[in-house]
Amino acid sequence: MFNAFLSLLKRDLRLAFRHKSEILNPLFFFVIVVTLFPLGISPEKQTLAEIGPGIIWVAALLASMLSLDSLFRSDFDDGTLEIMLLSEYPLSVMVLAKIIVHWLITGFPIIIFSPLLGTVMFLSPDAIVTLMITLLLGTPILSLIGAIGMALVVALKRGGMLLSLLVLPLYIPVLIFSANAVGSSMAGLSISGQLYFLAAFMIFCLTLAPIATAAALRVSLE
Amino acid sequence: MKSIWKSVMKFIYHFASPKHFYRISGKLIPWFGWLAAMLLIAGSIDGLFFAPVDYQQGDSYRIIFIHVPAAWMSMFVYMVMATAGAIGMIWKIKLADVVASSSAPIGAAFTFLALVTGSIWGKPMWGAWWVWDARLTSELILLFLYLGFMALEAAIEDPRAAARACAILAIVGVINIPIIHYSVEWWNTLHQGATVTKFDKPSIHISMLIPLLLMALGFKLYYVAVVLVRARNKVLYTEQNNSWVKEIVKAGG
Amino acid sequence: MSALIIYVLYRELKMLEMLQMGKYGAYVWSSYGLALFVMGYVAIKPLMDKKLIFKELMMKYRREAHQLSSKKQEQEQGQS
Repeated sequence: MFNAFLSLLKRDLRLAFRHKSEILNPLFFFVIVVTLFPLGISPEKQTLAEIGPGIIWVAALLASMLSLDSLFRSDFDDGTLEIMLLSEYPLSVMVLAKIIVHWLITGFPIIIFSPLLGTVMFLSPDAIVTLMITLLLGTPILSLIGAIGMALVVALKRGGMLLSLLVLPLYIPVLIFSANAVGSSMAGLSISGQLYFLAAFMIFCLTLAPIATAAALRVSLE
Repeated sequence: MKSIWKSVMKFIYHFASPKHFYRISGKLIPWFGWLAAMLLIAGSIDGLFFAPVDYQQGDSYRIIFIHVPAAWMSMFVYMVMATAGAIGMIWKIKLADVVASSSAPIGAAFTFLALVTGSIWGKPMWGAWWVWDARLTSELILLFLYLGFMALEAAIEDPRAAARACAILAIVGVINIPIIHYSVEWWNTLHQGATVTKFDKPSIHISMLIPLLLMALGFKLYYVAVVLVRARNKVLYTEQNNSWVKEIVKAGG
Repeated sequence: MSALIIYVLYRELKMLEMLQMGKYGAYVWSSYGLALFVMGYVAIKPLMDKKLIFKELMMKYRREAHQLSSKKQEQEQGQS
């Protein structure tokens, strides 16, 4: 089973790298959205430093959500998803492999680019480190919860908007604790509580989200 | 022990059969409906005219007799939806799916009511039509969860698949609701300081408690009555090709 | 007689005062009014839907019975 898990991982990674736009587009979106805010609000250092954590996190949230289509769409369209359903391996394990690949191609680049955006928003070095940690803990949660939503709407013709309505309310705790952690870091306050929450929530989602996603896939594909 | 369980399940399956559900619920609805109406009228009159004036907020606090029970019901109905969805998924009882689907608009209405009355109450209390306080923000997110449920149900054509997809969504939602509540409360205390209103404290004067409880109970019975009416309609429509439905329709309604 | 009028006027004034709810009358009454409207609508709409369903199903059954009887007629004509 572990072999099947690994081979699915490798296959999806290979496919993703063939369509580099799947990796680059969410990243560009992330960067562009963050740039919109100084343009729309104010380029002043104080203002940006105050709203920066929230903006970077909301942009990461939206970028992650918009890229969810790549999780199941192509496999659904050509029938591979159905074959996975019928295979002897537990669907939740297969789903986990796909979620990991999704995170590698969306969350991971976001984490790499976040210091650049943090600097642009005048975050202190401590805050930037906190930003990266919260993204490291949080973006997997976004991929995991997003997978559940994507599995529910994959069979629908125009599920894009519906997906955001389903998934964004569930993202809110991650947003609250992460943005707050970065903000507290700027002010020099303790962030351990927020990070503990994020870590706990991530592990919680890691164990349960694949099961819910598998159940949702079965409903979508029957 | 096993035979007791078996007979309980048999009873549940019997009651859950559409035909018997239709008949039994038809008898129950007037009881729940009229009782609910009496409780709501009594609670409203008590709350509006007989409960004492609050020395801090004057008469404006009387809105809580609508706002608080509506908020309680918005949570309660979501729990019922998720439970019914789970029952429908695990034991494949169609009636459970019907109850879940029938409950969603009622719960959304309660949430909307809680939001708007909370906002109206906020104007004399805080001077603004909207504040991002913990309860109102949580209710807003809960409204999104209800709307998502209803949107997903509308988007899936096959009713059975829709019921199961919505069940999964409701269960995921129910697990997340405490997490969301806790996050929003935590977020709120950071930005506004602890806004403890008189009614968040555990001790509330009994003359204010009674109308509150009357309204709460009235809302619950109202919900049961309305969900039964909606569920009966759905059952009638989905079972339209069955002979028992034909008999009932031909006998007039 | 005048005592009665004075008494009634007094009751009316008190009633008006109560209806105003301090100065919060608009807020309180609009909340209760909204609640009445929303809950009334949510309760009454399914009752109206029930009538519509009965109507629709009755028409459907009539149509089916008609189709069935006309099919039977065709069969009998075909046999004779």
